[in-house]
Amino acid sequence: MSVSGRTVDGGKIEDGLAGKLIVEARTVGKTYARAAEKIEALRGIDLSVARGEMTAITGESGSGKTTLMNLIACIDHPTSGSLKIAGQSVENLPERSLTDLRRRVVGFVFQEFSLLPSLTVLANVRLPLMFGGDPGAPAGTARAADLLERVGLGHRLRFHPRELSGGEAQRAAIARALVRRPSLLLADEPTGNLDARNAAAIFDLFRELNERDHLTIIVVTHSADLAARCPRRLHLADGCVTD
Amino acid sequence: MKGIGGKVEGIGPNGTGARFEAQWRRVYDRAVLHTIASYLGLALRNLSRNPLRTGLTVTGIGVSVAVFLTISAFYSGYRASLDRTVEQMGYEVLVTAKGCPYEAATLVMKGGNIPMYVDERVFDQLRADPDVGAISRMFMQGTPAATGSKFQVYLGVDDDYLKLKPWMKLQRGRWFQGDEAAEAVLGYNVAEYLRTDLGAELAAGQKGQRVHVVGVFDKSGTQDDGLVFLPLAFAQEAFDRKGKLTGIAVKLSHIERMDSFIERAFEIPSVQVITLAQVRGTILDLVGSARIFISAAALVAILVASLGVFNSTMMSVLERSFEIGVMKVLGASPGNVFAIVWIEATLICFSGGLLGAALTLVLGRFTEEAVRAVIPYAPPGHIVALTPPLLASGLAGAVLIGLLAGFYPALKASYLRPIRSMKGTL
Repeated sequence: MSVSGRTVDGGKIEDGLAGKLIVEARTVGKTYARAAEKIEALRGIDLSVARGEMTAITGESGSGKTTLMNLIACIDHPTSGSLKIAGQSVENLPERSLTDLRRRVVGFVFQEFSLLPSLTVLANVRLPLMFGGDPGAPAGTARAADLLERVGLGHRLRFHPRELSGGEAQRAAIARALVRRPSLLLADEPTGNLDARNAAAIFDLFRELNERDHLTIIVVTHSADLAARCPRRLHLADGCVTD
Repeated sequence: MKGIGGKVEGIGPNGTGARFEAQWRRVYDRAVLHTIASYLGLALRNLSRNPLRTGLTVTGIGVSVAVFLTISAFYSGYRASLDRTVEQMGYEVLVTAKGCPYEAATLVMKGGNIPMYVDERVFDQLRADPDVGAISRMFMQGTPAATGSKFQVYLGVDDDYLKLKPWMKLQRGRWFQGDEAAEAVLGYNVAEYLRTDLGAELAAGQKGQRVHVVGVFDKSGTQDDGLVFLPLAFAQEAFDRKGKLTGIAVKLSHIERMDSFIERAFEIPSVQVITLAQVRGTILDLVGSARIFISAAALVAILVASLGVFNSTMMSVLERSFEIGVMKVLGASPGNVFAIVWIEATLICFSGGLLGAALTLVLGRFTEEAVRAVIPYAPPGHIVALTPPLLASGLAGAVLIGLLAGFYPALKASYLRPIRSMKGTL
C-alpha cells in the first residue's frame, strides 16, 4: 500500500500538495462556553505538519490534546485563528464540505476503538467505504481484508468486536481508519486502554505505516516512552504548545 | 462518457468505447447494488440489537395492518357478495304484505320465517301489468331442523320461479309433477348437509307431512343452495296458509319503467313494494356506517403503532448517538446517517406489513366466521375478500407509515454534530 504523494482528487478540496503541509494552524483558539463560564481549551496554537511526518502530541489531561485532534479531524470548528487541512481552510466550511474533507483526507483512531458491536471485524473495516466511494463488494472487501491481514488480524475477519482483545480491537480500528486511504492518520490516545506490550505493538505499526508508506500520522499519547518513539514530539500545556 | 482507465469516447456503438461503457456500467451497478445491500444489512443488524423492542414495534404495526386489511377486505367482499346475491335473485322488485319492507326483503334474501302474508289475488293483478316480464309467487317458511341447531327454510314455488332463474339446473332428479304433490327438491347445500338423496322421505311443514325428495339442484352459490323447495299449493297447505303468499317476485320487461310500475303497484291495498336496489343500498349504508366506526378504531390503532415506530426509532437514535458520531468521523454525511435510520424505520414497518398480511391470510377464515356470526345479514360467498392489490396496498401503507414515522428521527440523527454526539451532549 502506498500513500505517499497521493492527491485528493475529484472534489472541491485541494490537496495542498504544493505546500507539502497537510496541517497548517495559525494562532488557533478554541473556547467552550459552559453556563456563564468560558473555557479556553486552545490558545493561539501554531502548528505545521508536513506530509510524511509522524508527530506525537503529549500533555496532561485537560491540556487541549483532544480538542486539537478534533479540530484537525474536522469534527469541530476553531473559534479563532486559521486552520488549513490539506490546503483547505476549514474555519467556515459547511458540514457537507467538512464531511467531504474527512472522507478524503482523514483517518481517525479512537481511544475506545469504537467498533460497531453488531458488525464483524471485516464489516467494521469496510464501513467507511459505505459512506461514498464504495468500490463494490469484491474490491472493497478485498481491500479491508488486506488491511486486516496487514495489521495481523487476517484470522479474525468474521469475529465480532466483543470477541477481540483490546490490542486486536485497536488494530482493527486502525485498519478501519486506513481503508479509505487517508493522507492523514489521527490517533487520539490509541493506547490508552492497552497494556504496555500491546501499546508498543500499536506504535510499531504506526512507525511502519509512516516509514514504509510515508503516511502522515499525528498521535496523542500520555506516555513519554511511546512519544519518544516518534520522530517529532509536541507538548501541550494549558492549551498552548510548549515545545 | 469516459471509459475505465482514462480511455475516452468510443468509436461507435459496437466499438471499444461502447464495450468500456458497458463494462463501466456493470461495475457501477454492482457498486450501487452493493451499497444498497450494505445499508439494508446495517439496518437489519441495528434492529436485531434490541429484538424485544423491534419485535413489539413490528407486532404493533402488524396488528394495525391486519385490522386495516380485514376491514377493507370485509367491505369490498361484502359488497361484491351482496351485488352477486342481488343479481342472482333473478328479479328486481319484491311485493310483500305491509310491514317493514327491508325486513321482508332481507328475509327473502337470507331465508327465514316471514310472518306477513299477501293474498294470492294480488298476484293476478300484478301479472296483468303491462311492464311485468316475469313473475313468481313465493311462500317462505322456516322451522327448526330435525337434527342439529339449524333452521330449515322451505320455499313454496311453482314453475314460474325457474323462469326467473334460468341458471338454476337440477343436478339430479326432476322438478315437481304437480302443484300439490308431496315432493321436495333440495338445494345443493341441504342435500349435502342432510346427506339425503333422491327417493328419501322428509318431514315438512307444521304438521310434519312426509315429502319425497325428487330432485337436487346443482350448486348455485346463492341462498337457493340452502332451501328446500316445495310445490306452492302443498307448502301453503302444510303451513296452514292456503291462498297466502309471503312475497311476489317481479322481473320487469323494461327496467327503465320501474318507477311507473311501482306507482301502480302501490295502488293495490295492503301491499308494499320494494326494489332490490333499495335493499342493497340500505344494507350497504348500514354496513358502511359500522365500517366507519370500525375504521376509526383502526385508524387509532395505526396512529398508536406509528407513534410506536417513531418512539422506537427515536430511542434507538438517542442510544446510538455515540455510534452515529463515530460514523460521521469515519466519513458519514448527514444523508448517509439519514438513510440508515430511515431504512431502519421503514424496515420495521415493512416487516409489520408482512406480518399483518400473513395474519390476515391465516386468520381470514376465522374472521369470516366471526363476522358472519355477528352481522344480521351476510350474503353467500366470501364476505372477507383478500385480493393481491389489497395486500399490496396494506404493505404500501405500512411502508408509508415507516417513511413518515421515521422521518423526524432520521433527520435528528442526520443533524447530530459528531463532536456533541460523541460527548453525549445532544
